[in-house]
Parts: sequence; structure tokens; C-alpha cells
Amino acid sequence: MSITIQQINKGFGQFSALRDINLQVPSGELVALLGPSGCGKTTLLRIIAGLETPDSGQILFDGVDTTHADVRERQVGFVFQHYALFRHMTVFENVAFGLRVRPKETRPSNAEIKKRVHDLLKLVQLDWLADRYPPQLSGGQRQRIALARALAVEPKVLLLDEPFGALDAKVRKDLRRWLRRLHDELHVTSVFVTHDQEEALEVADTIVVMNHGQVEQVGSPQAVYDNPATPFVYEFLGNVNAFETPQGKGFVRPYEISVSREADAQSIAGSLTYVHSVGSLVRLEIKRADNEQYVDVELGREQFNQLSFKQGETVYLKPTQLRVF
Amino acid sequence: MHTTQFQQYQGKVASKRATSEPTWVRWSLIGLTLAFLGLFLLVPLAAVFAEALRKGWGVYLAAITEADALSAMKLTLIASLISVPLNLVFGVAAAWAITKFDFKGKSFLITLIDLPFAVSPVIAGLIFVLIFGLQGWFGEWLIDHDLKVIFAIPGIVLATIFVTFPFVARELIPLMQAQGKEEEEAALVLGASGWKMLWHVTLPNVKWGLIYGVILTNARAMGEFGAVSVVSGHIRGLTNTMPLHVEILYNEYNYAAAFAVASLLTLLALVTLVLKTYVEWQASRDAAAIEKEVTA
Repeated sequence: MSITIQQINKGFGQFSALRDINLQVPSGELVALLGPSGCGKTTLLRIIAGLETPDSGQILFDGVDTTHADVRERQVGFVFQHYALFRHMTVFENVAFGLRVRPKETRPSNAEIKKRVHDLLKLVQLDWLADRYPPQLSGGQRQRIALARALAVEPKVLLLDEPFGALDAKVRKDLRRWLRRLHDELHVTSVFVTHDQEEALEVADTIVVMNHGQVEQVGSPQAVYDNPATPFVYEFLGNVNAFETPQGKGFVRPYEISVSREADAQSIAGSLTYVHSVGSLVRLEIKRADNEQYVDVELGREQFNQLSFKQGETVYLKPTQLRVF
Repeated sequence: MHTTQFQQYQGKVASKRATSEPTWVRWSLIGLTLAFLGLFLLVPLAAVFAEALRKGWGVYLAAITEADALSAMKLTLIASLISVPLNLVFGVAAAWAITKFDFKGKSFLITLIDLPFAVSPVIAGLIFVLIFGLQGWFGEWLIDHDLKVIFAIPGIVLATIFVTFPFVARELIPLMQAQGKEEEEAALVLGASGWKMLWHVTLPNVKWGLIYGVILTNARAMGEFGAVSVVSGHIRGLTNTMPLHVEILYNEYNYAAAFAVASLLTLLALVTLVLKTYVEWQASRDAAAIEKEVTA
């Protein structure tokens, strides 16, 4: 199911959380709402779910206006940031909840519910936890149960609020890949909120970068990373060096700078203040001679070994690519 | 191996000494506390039962099975049987509204719920006399329709409801606030109706707090004196609750009977305390069991 968001505005008292949001989520896509905290991404997600009402604007599901439809009628699955599992119910009952609360006419039989729940638990690879209670699970397990519970009602749209926010780095990486594979399998239109650019770049088909209640840029991970539309997107996605240039503010990624010992007409002199060489990339910190500002440069390990710069040495920098806004 | 254990033990003793007061300070503080508790709690408690049984079991039993005493007990039971369920419903509704929704006048509502705690019970009783009494706002209307509120059972029930109103809500609000509303939202998104959400998600989560609130409400409903005293009219066998009955017997110098009935109220208090402790123990055991599983 596709989602169309038209001119959504939302304020909380004096604070304007969302301003004139327009967005199209094609059917079957996995979209990330990416932005710093307080940018309105969670509010937008909750408006799509029906947990908040916009002050103005419309939400369309498959072209049908659902702005004022009840949460219960929207057929969305929502995975909460802290999972919101029902703490006094077993894992099985948690997943079965959405089926059990249906009115009698549409409620599946007990045997069907049992089968559905076990199928879902198998899908999230946690069938063996059916009789446990949520507080007895690890963060990653809770996350997957929350997902199974959301999927139990066969949602047309799956919405996830900071799905990996509360997990440690290793589990996070695993779950992220797993979610991507699950999405490829189920093909349910999904929107997830994150403040982690790496997560968005790795998992999403499309990234929506948001800031101060507005959409800054929409595009594929490649597009938003390589061609940031605004200074904000440049700074938010990945490391970047910002310069003042006569034409405006200039941005250069750390790997878009060449370093050498020989000066030429366009190069800038600086002294190498710090070398950080853990991993495949070597990060250099260089203090510019002209304005004392620090510049981050990334070199491949091999390249660095060939050049073998020493700390304190004077080097010459030249951007290989520069964007000016 | 043994050495290290010994060292550990020694370390513990040393650190314990380092963080505690000298022996004489500790014992005098403990002694003071025990003396205080004994004087203000245990001695009066013992006195109630001693006085009640001073003239023997026969007099005791007679005092608590006498017709007026039985009718006082019946009235006390009626008052609490009506006010406890009503305040249970009000309390849950108020706590639900306050913790799960944002609306204007919320802090005013919280203040309003606390009002019965802030106001003297006598004033609370007086309020109802002023509203429903003969000279009150609805006095004439009530007489015209042959309805009696003041100096009758309805007045006593009203006064009891008023003074016990905050207990359930006060117990639930902090609990429900701490739990947040994510689980309710999850239930909603999964298609649960309001009733199903309340019944399957909200209430099970606040079970122990709710029971605790009900126990406190009941204790206060049965023990209330001030407010009920004003609206009751002290008609023997008709509008006397147990605490009022105790007062009347006492004023008539019928000490054995007064203490006999009082001993029943005291027993109620003790039962309440036991129940309260049991509920607290259960609640913490539930939490601890889960905690243990998590760390295991």
C-alpha cells in the first residue's frame, strides 16, 4: 500500500513540530525518516499511524484519505521505540493479542490463532520463547517479538520508531540486516524512524532527511550521500569539513582531499597534528597554517604507508571535490 | 583459598565498622525508637483488648451481639460496600484520564481529587448538611419528594464516598504515570477497543496498586468518624456506624461495651495491615522474580 503525505502541519503549543510536509512512500518500499532528535520524524510516524492528528494536511493510503480514520481501522503495524510489549502477558499472548481482540465475527479460531502465532514466532526465529514474559527477554529478542506482534494483524503498512535505538552495537548490526531481509521477503510498505545515518544508509530504499520539522531531502542512500541538497544534509550524513569560501560555505568529505609533501598553486599548507590509524582507513588531523582550523582527511592504509607521514610534518592539501552552497 | 576468604571477611567487617556509629549511639537510637513505638502503638493496642475483655467474654460477646451494635455493624458494612466499588470505578477513571490523556485543567482535576484529603472531615460532613439538609439548597425539594438524605443512610454513604475518594486514584496515578501509555497505544494500533484495552492491558498492569488502594479505601470507609458524625444524627439502631456507636457507648460510661466494639475496629485495622503487607510482598515478589530471570 502506498502512503501519500500532503501538506502536513503539526504543532504542540508554541512549538511547530512539522511544517508543510509532502512525501510519497511507494508501495512495498522501506523508507527511513532520518534526522536529529526533535526534528519531527517520530511525530510524522505517529501521524501516519493515527496516534496523532495533524493540525492540517492529509494522509492518503493508496489514494484514499485516511487523515481522520481511527487508528484501529488503518491496519498499520507499529513497533514502538521501547517495544511496549504487554509485560504481564507471555510472548505467545503478546503476539496473539491483535487476533484475540477482534470482534467475534472476524476473530480466527483458537487453533488458527495458535498456528498463526507460532508461524510468526518462527519467522522471527524465537519460537522457543513462546511461554516467557517480556521482562525475561533480551533487548534484541523483545524487538523481534514486537515486530511479530505488529505483523500478526497482517498490516498494510509497517511503522517502526527507532527500531534499533535501545540495542547495543553488535545486536544492532545483526538486526538491521535481518530487518532488511525480512522486508525483502514480506514486501510490506515500511517506514522507520532513526537518528543514525549509518543505519538509514544501510537498510533503507529511500531516505527522507528531516530537520526542524521540514523535509531537507528525499532520495536513495547513494543520492543523498553523494549529492546532499543542503548544508544540513551534508553535515548530518557522514563526516565533512566545512570551509568558508568567497562564494559561500564549502563542504569536502575527508576522503575527497589529497595530501602531499609538495606545494602547488591551489594547495593549502598545514601541519599534521594527529594520526589515527586503526582499521582500514587512516584518519589525519591537519591544522591549517592560514587560519588554524582543523581539517579531517581519510587515506587508505596502503596509500598512507607509501607516503608515511610523520606527526608534526608540514603537508599540502587540495580538495579533489568541493561543494559550495 | 582460605586466606582470601578470610581476608574478604575481614575486609567486610572493617568496612562495616567504618560506615556505622559507635555502639552506644546505635543502641540508644534503637531503644528510643522501640520505647516510642511501644508507648504510642503497642500499649494503646493492648489497652483496647484488655479493656474490652476486662469483664470477661460473656460481657464482650453480649456487647458485640446486642441489637444496636449489630445494626451499627450492618450500616458500616453497607456504607463501605457502596462507597468502595464506586470509588474503585471513580479512581480508575480519574487515574486513567489523568495519566493517559493530555487536556486543559488537568492539574485542577488533580487538585480536586486531593480536596477530601485537604478538607477537615467535619467540614466535609457539613457540606452535605448544607446541600441536602432541611435548610439546605435542596432541602425543600427533598421533603416534597419524601426523600431523606441527612440523618439517614444516603447521607452517611455520601459522606463516606467523599472522604475516601482520593485513595484509589492517588495510588494509581504515580504507578500509571511511571508505566506511560505506550502499551495502551500498542493495544490500540492492534485494534483493541477501549474496554478490551482497559481490561487486558491497563488493569493487569496496575493490579497490586489497585488492590492496595481498595484496602486503604475500605479501612477508611469503615473507620470514618468526623464526616459521618455530622450527617448521621446519631439515631441508635438506625444511623449509627461502628465508630459512632463506640462514641455513644463511651459517653454513657459503658466502657466494656465501647471497647468491645472498638476492638472489632482494631481487628479490622490489623487485618488491613496484614493484607497491605501481603499485597506489598506479592508485588515486590513479582518484580523480583522477573528481575532474577533477567539477570540469570
